[in-house]
Amino acid sequence: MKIKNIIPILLISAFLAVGCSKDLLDIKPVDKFTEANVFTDAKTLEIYVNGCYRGFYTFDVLDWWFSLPLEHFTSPLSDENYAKFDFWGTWIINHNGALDPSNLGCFQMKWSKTYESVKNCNLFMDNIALAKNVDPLLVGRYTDEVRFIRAYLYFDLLRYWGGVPIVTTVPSLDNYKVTPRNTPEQVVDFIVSELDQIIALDKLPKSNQTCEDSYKGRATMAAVHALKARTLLYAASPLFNPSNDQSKWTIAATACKAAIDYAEANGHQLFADYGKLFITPYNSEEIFIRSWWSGTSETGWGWGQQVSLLDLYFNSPSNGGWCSLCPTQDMVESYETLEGKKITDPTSGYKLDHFWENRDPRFAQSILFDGSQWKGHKIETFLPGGIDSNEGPVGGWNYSVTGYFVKKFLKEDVVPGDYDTKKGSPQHNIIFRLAELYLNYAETQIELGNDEEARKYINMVRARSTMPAIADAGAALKERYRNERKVELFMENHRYNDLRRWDIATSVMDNKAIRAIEIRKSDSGAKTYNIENRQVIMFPERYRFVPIPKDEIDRSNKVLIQNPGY
Amino acid sequence: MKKNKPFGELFCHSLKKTLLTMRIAVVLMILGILQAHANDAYSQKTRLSVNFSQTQLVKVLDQIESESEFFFLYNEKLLDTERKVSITEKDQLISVILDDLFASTDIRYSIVDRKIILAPAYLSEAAQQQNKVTGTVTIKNGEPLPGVNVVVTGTTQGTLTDVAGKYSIEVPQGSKSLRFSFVGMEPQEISIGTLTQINVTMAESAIGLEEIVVIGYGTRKKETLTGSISKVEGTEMKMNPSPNLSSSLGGKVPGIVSINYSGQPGEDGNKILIRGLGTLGDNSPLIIVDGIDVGTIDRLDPNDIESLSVLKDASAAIYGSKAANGVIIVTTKRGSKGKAIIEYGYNYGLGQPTVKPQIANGYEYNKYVNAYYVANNESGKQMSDADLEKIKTGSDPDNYFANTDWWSTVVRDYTPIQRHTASIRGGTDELKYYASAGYLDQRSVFKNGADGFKQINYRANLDWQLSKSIKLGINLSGRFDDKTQPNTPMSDTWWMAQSINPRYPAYFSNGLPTDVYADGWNPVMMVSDAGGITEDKSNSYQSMMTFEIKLPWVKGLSVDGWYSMDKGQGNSRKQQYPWTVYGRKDANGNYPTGISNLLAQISLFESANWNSSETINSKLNYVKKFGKHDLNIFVAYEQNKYESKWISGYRNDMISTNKDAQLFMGAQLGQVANGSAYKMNRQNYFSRLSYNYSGKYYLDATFRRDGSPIFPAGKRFGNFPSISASWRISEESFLKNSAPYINNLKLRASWGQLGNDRVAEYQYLTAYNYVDSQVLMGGANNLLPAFYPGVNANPNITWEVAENKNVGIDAGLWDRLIEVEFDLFSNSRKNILIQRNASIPDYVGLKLPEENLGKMRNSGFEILLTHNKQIGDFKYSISGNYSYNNNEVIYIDETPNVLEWQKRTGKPFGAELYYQTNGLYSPADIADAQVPKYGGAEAGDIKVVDYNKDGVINGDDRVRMDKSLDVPRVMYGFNLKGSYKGFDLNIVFQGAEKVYRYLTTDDIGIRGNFLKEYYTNYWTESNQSARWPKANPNTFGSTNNNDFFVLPAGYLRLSFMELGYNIPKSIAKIVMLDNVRFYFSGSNLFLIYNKLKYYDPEMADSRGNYYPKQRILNFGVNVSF
Repeated sequence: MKIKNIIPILLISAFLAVGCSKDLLDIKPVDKFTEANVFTDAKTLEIYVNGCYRGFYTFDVLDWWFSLPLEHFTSPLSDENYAKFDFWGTWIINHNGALDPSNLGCFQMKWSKTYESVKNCNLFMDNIALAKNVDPLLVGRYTDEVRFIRAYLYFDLLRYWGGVPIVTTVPSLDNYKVTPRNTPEQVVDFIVSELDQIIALDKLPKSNQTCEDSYKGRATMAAVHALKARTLLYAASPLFNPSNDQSKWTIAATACKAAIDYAEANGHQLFADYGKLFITPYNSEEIFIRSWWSGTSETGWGWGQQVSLLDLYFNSPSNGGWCSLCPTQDMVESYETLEGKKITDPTSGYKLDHFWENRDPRFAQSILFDGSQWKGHKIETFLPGGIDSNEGPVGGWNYSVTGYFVKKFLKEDVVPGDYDTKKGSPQHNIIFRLAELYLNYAETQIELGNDEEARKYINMVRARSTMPAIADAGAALKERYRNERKVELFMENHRYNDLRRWDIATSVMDNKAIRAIEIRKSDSGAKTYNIENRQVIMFPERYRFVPIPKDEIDRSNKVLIQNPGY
Repeated sequence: MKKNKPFGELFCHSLKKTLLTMRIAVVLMILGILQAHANDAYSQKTRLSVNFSQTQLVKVLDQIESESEFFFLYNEKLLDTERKVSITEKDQLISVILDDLFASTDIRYSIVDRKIILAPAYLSEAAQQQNKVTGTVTIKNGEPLPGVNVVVTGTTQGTLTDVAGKYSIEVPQGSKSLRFSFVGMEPQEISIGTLTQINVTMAESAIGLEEIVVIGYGTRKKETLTGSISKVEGTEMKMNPSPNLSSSLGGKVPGIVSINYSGQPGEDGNKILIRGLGTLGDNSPLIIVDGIDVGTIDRLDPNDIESLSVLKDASAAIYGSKAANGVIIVTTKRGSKGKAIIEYGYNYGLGQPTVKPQIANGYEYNKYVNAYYVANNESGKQMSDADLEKIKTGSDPDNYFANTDWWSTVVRDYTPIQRHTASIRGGTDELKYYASAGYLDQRSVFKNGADGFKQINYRANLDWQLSKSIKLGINLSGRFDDKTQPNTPMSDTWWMAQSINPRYPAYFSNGLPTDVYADGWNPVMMVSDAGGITEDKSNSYQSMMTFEIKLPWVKGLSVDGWYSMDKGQGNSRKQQYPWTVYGRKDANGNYPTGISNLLAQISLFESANWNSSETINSKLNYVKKFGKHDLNIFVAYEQNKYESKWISGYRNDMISTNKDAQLFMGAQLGQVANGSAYKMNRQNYFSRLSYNYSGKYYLDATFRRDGSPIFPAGKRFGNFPSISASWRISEESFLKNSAPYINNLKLRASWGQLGNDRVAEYQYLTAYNYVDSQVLMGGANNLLPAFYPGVNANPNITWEVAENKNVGIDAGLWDRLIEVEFDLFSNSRKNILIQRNASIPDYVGLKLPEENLGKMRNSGFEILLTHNKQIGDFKYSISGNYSYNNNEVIYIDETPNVLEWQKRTGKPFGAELYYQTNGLYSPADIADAQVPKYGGAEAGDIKVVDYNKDGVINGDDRVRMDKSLDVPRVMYGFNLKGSYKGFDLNIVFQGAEKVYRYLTTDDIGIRGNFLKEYYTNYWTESNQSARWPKANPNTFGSTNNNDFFVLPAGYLRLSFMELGYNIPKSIAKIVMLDNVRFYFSGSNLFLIYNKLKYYDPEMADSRGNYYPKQRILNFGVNVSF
């Protein structure tokens, strides 16, 4: 047979041979996993639990421009800081009174992201039965870790929105329920019962001081106690306890004390140096933290890499920072003198042109101002020509509107905005620390009239910073306590929540101007100091709770009821 | 020519004959001319032997050709090559053999050197007659055209031109004109008057009625098309020497929406949409090159393109899945019978941005910033008048009182682009070849810019007619891209180039670069390789073997098919290191080094990827003609397997910044390795039945069954039928007789269902994405991996179905003086995969998969009008195209009790909620409590309309936008073509209307510079009728979508113009060339109007932070020999 007649036969038979693969379409994705191989294996189960810890990052956004890591974002919603740049519109709308359900800045995302994280935890709970071949001890530990994370997520929802719908399982596409809001009490009960369950089972390591290094950063029994204490403190506070039911304070007090006792019994104690507390990872005071990436990476910043840019956001112009947040004159004035006097006290010796002298050490440990020594030189906010003013060498956009810069959390040796190596700031984001537990407990004691016990714990916190003990009682003690809390917990995502929780936010903040310091330097070198008013801030009554996103209300077909006033 | 010789020998054999110049005008005709120095010596001394018995004439001629250097030229229509002959001669002169061969026929031969021309006696005789009108018919470059029909208009009296293109014809008294016609050429009619000699130059018809159009798994004559298919000739694609092919389509084809998104070398592809937006998801068309889905036409060498078809309606259904957004089919050039033609082209272009945004200068910007300080209660921070004056006069730039035009500091005036192309094509009856190579070098638009793009490509297409019934083909092509770019993202660079405060100098007067924002960034460094570069190399190789076999058993039955294996491989290498910039001179007179210098880290990231795609196609065809019935059927099977894989490695603390530094030179601590893979298979069955009756009624029906593995078993296959028909009214005798001026009149209609599975894959599974380095726990920098649950599984997910309807009319009048194509279409989609995210709250805990829920309709029309005319040597055509499309959501998930004006249903897809605005608040508005305001509103802020008139500005006042952002609803174009003797001119205008752009202004004010326009007319107490809001960052516009900054972006641009000149053949010959053409051309030359004013209307970014579209001026030359 001639070659040219063979060719077509060969071709056709070759095609018939290769062309009839029956299972051609039976392929599975090679770059993903499915249920069957996630929940059945100890290693993949652990990896799934890791993912649940991302629930603590629900404020982090993809849009890093001017954004702040974690929850420092609530600081400029309070009287602590003024935010120069906007963050998804959050500050503008909060400040000018325009916060509404269809325009709520990053709270929109906070709601969705938090519930998405809840869903991830629920999915674990729904599927953990598949882990038949995994060590039951491990399964128990993982379950409690996830239970703790979920409880924290509900606490987070509670403090911003009040009573929210409690969802504990993952529905299916054709069988889902649009449930109404639960009451704040129900949410509190749910959180507490979940935490009590963990406490009863006692399967988590006790604290990050005693656990193995590899476990550090994960849920501990100390953290569980701390969350229970804080939740019950909120539940007893005026916002959630308008009738001031004393039994709620009693329950809170018990939990707060239990948390302190548990922490102290398991290696926690106050860290000696307030100035280094926030830049010393895994110190004895940290009960529960999230940590940030500070190594180098090829892929850069962002949500995926857990990179914090604190040093970039907060540093002053001459230090290559953006000065996203500017501490207010109000905040600066909250720091007492070394003798423990308010600066408004005529006997305090306070003078505006030496405002930095003779102050609570925590002031200079937390805030940078004109004349502060930092990174090898002095901060200069004076005009004309100060290197950190709007006339500085880099000038213009990244000066401080108030004349102050954040120092707390910053590490002097971190290069802000290390663009090329994508290094982040290594500081931990502290979610629970012992001093907060002391103050929480003190608050319950004040409310229950046990002033002495309250003073004891407040003074422990003050003593660490060499501040004299206080002897106030009654209303004066309450006032003193609240200022102490403001100073000690500056920028730790408490002030905004405390003001609302105490239901005094409107009276403290509404319709008041942000105040700033303006420093002029004459040709002779003499400086003059002036307090000036900046933007007037609104904090109407309805801001006591954040509005639920309008989309959610609409999508629920009004099953969700909006918070009052919106 | 012998069939059993090895390839190489055959090839050489053909080359031997390249001394003669050859032109192939159409498949049926071979043309030739005599060389001036021809002589008969060869034919006088060469002796040949032949011995055939009852053999086809063609075989005898072949045998002679293969054994000698003789070459036969003849018109196949005029010579019966199938005639059986018997001949036996030994060592005879060619003339003896030829005498014998044609003894009893009317064929005459003439021998000119090695060339033997065979023609019927009447042609030869015609040359000897001396009649009233004589002349020569040539084609454009002066070569004679034999076989042209020359007819006295209105009579049957006619003749054909001879081999020298000469004719001579008896013209009766009173005859008005002569008509010259030739297949594939523009027919011409010339008045006789008193002329006795009429010389005619014929031109190839641009849009001839005999035009062959590729329709997907086949070709059609244009006149018999039943669907809405536009064709662009390769020559037209070739003309536009823009470095990216996708940018050459705009304005040329009705129904194509082409939007440029970047001018960055190597990234300058246009987004192409066929008939606008059809679905809620992926709208990109399917791109098929020589049968294979290639994803993009961006990097094809335009010189390789034979033709390009755009399937706009149900005719695309033959491609089934993925075809719902239309199909673009590119066919590359192949060899054709004849002597080798070698072509070479060189093109040198200069590019520059089309529009330079007019930015406020240093004085203006800082005055504006002063106003901002006042608005923000910080009047003490204003820049003093003395300092503003310094900026104006430029007296103190080093102290940051410069007045830098950042754009001009980094952007070059002109950027060179070069392209070389070379090709060779030719062949014999048995073997036809086309081979080409191209080289493209595109440089950065920046001064000292590190970005650039180089491309080398080759292609070889071989066709081998093994026997009368077997044809084989091999297509090979490859491409090597090399793209470099600086390590800072381009969008940042463009942001900096427009937004930096002009008060900063780019360099201090001593030449040191400035640390502008104290973060190390300075555009002059960012565009350069100062911080290292990223180099992406990608290589791809395509190989395809094709076969066509006429089956011996049944007449009309054949099989064809192909096997293709495409491989791609890419490398990316990103080397990063610090650069040094400097701060302002300090008190000691030193310039402190900027922050980037503090970073000692040098890092290297490398990645490699591979992909392979294997396709098998086989097709069984049956063709049958009986009486006036014409039937053409095929059934086919096709399958594709695709795989890709990538790996990457990273190390820092590299010991070297050397370009050749390798990963091992970095630190092991912190090193990263990564990798993943992807798989996709396809399985398709399809068939087509084509039928026509008497050349008047045409019917096409296709059926396709496609399998896609991304759907669950049982839902994987989709069936996609289509039917289309046309009626050629002009072929009806009633019209032929009554309206002879109608050359073509056709009605078309089509209907079809097409599939789309270009959606997120495997949504029927709850997939868990594994992400490494996600959670930090257990000590410093201990990054742990995590799983993220994907969507809730949707076990019912399946194909999205498009139903496309189209009616059209084609008409050609008065010998193509006017041609019209008109199409009306309505495409509806159902089962569109969308999420139920409007009716299911987030807190419920579903991560919504896509479900087959959405419905939308996209309808519109297209019209193409062409006018062709020739006046003497001047020939021109004008065509205009206009297309309109509008899409509307028919069904989409809506929020319960949605406000009427916020409904998505009935609005264009993707329409968002916008506040309506009405200028700016006046002080009176602010004072008037009756005027609704948002919180914090002040005089000079954007005034928002209280749409629902409830006295409050809130989310309920947002209105679903009805304007089409970014994607124009109207695209139109004009094409002007003209030629006169050696000159040719081609002009393309492209325009768009009913399109809007949303300009983002969030950085206006303190952080970034802005358009001069904002400065010249912003609100102040003394300018209350201003166009733009006051200087204050807290404007409503920065936190809410509002229509204040939604601006019309219609435009008309001269998108392409070319003037070419073919130097006369006689001159070309002096340098031994056949054809030489010089041309000047330009693309995106200028905007005739631009409603957007401030930026290029096609800009990719909402405030111009993108690599701008390029205007390119070209000079080029093409030669062939």
